[in-house]
Amino acid sequence: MRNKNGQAAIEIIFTIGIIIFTFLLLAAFTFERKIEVQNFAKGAEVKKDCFKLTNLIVGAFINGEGTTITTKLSENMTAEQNSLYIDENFCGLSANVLKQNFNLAKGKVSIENKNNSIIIQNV
Amino acid sequence: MSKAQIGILDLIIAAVLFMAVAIPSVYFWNLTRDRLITGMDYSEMQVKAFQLSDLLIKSEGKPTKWENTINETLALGLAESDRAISPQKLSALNATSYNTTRKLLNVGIYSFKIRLTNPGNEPIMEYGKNFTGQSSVVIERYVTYEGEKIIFEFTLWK
Repeated sequence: MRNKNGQAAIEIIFTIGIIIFTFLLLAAFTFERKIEVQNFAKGAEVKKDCFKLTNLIVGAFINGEGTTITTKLSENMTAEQNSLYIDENFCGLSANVLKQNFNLAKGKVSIENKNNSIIIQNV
Repeated sequence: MSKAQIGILDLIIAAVLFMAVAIPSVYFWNLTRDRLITGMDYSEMQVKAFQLSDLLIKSEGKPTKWENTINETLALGLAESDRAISPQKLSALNATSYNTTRKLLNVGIYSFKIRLTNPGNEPIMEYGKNFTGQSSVVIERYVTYEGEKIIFEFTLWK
């Protein structure tokens, strides 16, 4: 039997290369967007927590001496002067009512109005 | 001489169809993302505006007689009691520079305007900067001032 030789044409190699490249581009784009969506969702969740706490702090201040509010934090938070920081996100307080800086672990926290200043601590 | 084929019509059609789907997808994805970010920014502005209006009309400030010593003020408040505006505090606010008030209220990147009107929309007092930005949140609250029911309008904008 006579052996026949085959030829992998350069065109088909070229075409397959383009297809693979296109799908790699598509995969990279999809992966990048997936990461973006995850970061966005996490950022939104963190901002929600931040706003919730600023609302409660201002509420405790407005309601006056002796007001105590308990809430839950889903992330560690730092409260400094007029701002609350969670990871890279921060939100500002509308008044300088914090007695000192606070480092709060996630979990239950209490917000107390004492001597017209706000004290926040983990419970 | 043998001839080779370098163009495949099916592949070209498929590539064109693929681009026709991929390019609008990328465009709409970016558009959706931008709208989401704008929506979140607007929500943030709404929360801030509510907080500030609440603080101003429900709180006496810190110290409670801040109108006597503005330099020692830590928190602004215009109320003599819940939703009753104090004429003395209002005068003190009017006499305070806009930048000082901005710092005390910690409005950040935003600007604001306070407007008090009677129910017939006649102005009683205006304070702050007029809107010249791109987006704003306007909060209207009913309060009492010198025994009369008036409208306290707080605009936060950027």
